[in-house]
Amino acid sequence: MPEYPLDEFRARLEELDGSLHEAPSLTAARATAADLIGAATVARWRDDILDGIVTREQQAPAVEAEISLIVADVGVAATGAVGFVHRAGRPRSAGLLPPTQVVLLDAADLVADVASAFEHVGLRNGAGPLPGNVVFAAGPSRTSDIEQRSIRGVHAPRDLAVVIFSR
Amino acid sequence: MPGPRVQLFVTCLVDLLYPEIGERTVALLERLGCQVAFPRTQTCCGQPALSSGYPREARTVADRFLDAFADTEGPIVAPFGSCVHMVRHHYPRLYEGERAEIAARVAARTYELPSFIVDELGLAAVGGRYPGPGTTAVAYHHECHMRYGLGVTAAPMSLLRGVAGCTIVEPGRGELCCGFGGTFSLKLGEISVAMADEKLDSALAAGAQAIISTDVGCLMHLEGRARRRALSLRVHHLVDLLEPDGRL
Amino acid sequence: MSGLIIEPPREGPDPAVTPNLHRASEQWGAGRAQARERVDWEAWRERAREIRADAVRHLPELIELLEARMVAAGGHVHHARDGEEACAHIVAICRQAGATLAVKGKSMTSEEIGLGAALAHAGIEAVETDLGEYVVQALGSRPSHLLAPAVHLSAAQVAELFARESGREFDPDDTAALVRYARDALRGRFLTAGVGITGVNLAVAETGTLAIVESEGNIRLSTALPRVHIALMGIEKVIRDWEGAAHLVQMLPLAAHGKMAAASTSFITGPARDGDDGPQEVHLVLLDGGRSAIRGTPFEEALHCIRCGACLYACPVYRQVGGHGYGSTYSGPIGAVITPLLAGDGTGDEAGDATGDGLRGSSLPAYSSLCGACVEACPVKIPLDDQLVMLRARAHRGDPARGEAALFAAWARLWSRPSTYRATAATAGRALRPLWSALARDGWQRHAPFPFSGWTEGRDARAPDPEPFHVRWRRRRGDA
Repeated sequence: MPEYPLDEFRARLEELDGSLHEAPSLTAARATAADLIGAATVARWRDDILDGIVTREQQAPAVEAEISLIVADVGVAATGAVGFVHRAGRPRSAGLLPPTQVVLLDAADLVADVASAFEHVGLRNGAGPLPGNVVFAAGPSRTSDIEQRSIRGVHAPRDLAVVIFSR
Repeated sequence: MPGPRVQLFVTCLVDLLYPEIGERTVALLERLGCQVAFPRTQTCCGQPALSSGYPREARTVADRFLDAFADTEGPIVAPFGSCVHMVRHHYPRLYEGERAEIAARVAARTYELPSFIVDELGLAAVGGRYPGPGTTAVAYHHECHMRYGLGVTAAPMSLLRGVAGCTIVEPGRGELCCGFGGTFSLKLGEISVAMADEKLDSALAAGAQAIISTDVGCLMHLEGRARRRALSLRVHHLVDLLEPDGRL
Repeated sequence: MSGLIIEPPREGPDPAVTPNLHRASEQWGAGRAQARERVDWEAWRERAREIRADAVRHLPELIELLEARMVAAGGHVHHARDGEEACAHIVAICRQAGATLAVKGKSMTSEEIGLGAALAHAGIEAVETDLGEYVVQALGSRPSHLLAPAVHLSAAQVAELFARESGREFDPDDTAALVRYARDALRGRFLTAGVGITGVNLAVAETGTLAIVESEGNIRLSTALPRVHIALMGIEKVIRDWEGAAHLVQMLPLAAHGKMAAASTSFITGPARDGDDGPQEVHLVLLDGGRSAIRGTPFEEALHCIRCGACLYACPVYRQVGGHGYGSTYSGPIGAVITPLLAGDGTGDEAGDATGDGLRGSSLPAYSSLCGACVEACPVKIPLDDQLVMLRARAHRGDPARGEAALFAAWARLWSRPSTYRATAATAGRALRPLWSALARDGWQRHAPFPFSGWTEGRDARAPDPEPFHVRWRRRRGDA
């Protein structure tokens, strides 16, 4: 995988107060995610990639969980965003309600720019229908509504950690 | 060898309220080797009427400008950027057909003084001295019609840097409009004055002892407010500083 | 609450808001400098302009395509000629859904149509979920900037509001605690609301997709948890395709904040499918409200606006007056342009507001010194200054008896002939000299006569020179 997009992705994500963790393999990525999560309660998406990171006892409904554990369909180097397509086993609520988010991203899904990212997740011209909901999250949620002071963590996650791995 | 023939577009505000700026402009252009002609039938560019929403009245007066200058030769130079912006940007839009073509040709050879000196005559500086002894801290106010309308900021700064006896300070948010805006200054006077106050206060905060510009409207507005507030801040047209030995 | 025009604009600066606006404007300026370093800004602006121009030029066919694709994806589309119809559609959808509580994302279009009042009247509670809008709503105020609705408020005011609501103490400097309070107060609402109501930043006609950007996550929650999603959109916001979408979803945060991306961007194509847990119904309410009438007029480019708020931050008049000072839902330079256009019939043949009291917005174009900062700031290159000048002319048409019109007519007559121009100069010099020079010092004086008396309310006036330049030239050079 070319170095440059990863460097740019890291720079953009960190600028937005997100964090990037690099793992040489999926196994290592799972271990990193487990470290980040510790003993916290987790709402996770159903995906093979996310297996073996947290115990059954840790899992909690999205409304109660401290951490959401999800997989990204794409990463965008130019903006530091991760994109995900919501479908069965990938409920929106699980990716939204918990205040901390850990995202696993396959390095093969890291693309250079927004146009490529759209293509990658099926947002394109021509006969649809497209997926019902695709979200790009660039760093944690924030607001500057009170005297222009920038505060992280409003309704969407306050902390966003991306664990990027190569298969 | 005689220098280029230049048509002076003195502008109505300079003509009627600041004639000495007109005289200094002529003296400067002649010092730089130009032959200055003054088409005597010129009156005003018509901008006050256009800005206030009277395009027909603006055109009536603009017609006179075109009559005065269309058959002349050489660059048309004005010591006032806002009027030049009126001619360059608005005149071609004010007319249709053949008259629009005439307007466009005139517009293409109309310049404000700094761009004429720096870009057309090719002189990055022409010397000059801030009037009076010692060194004076000056802040340059780029008139909005030059900065935003004509995209010109480098030329006046280049000339200012060649002036002895002054140091240049940069007030914060220097790109903000001073609040003159033509008839805006009368229609929404309180807002206009508040904008002048912000400009004057930020110049003072930056340590400026004088404000320099080429927009006679801005100068009139800023100096008028400075005087009302009894501020010890001088206000000068750039041409005031370009006399070789700092005389006024 | 609200509507397009609420009250006449204020005549002077608003000192209460200036510190906040200055800070917001400075931050925006820093963001803008960053944006210019990141991308080829001028090329990006031109591309953005092209995308929007294409869309507005082909508006009817793109709206048709948008509807067809959205319906094919399982969504519903409702057309509203005006704000009243739009409100009626939205109320009907809420009623049909049996919803008494709606969570609402920030939408200036909803302010324009007075949606809050219409919902309240219908017994539907609509809770604003954007933090700034939440505060504004709780204080019974209205938003004062396109993107930063509470920019006119202080932290102390917010702390005081939250203290009143909760019975707890809040330190105005502990902004994180204030934000946490709002988050917790709203969480339960998201979970129980039957309807989520949002605006739309752009709609991609090719696939019937709604694009919504945000910072806080309240839009995602409002479009994920309630069973029904209602999206309200001015028709001009449609764009053709995904190439355009890719460019504009980056342009919007760049122009607004100097950032490469918004914190969240949602692309919604119909209701939840394939086992996704989102809304079962998605409704798009398309508002005309005077927009289509602007197409084909010299003001068409005003419809290119992507509501980024940059022109507000750049404007030196907005900086003094504040958003509320314009008396209209849309403030700043774009507000001064579209308010009279949307309020009139948009054709330009309308006489406008003869009384000049601003209730049709026709006095708003005067709220500009025509400096051009907005034009430079605009990511889609709308020639706002030229449009303001044209709107000033439009406001005068049909009202020739006005004093100002007579003055300019006389001025044009006198100054379109060199002889009378010189005669007025001589007269002003001679006849007014006694008046002017009575209290003059160094050629300046404290009282100017009609029609310039307004000048000397705050400034000294320069007296006409007894020897104008044209006289000096003649004296020194003859008739050369």
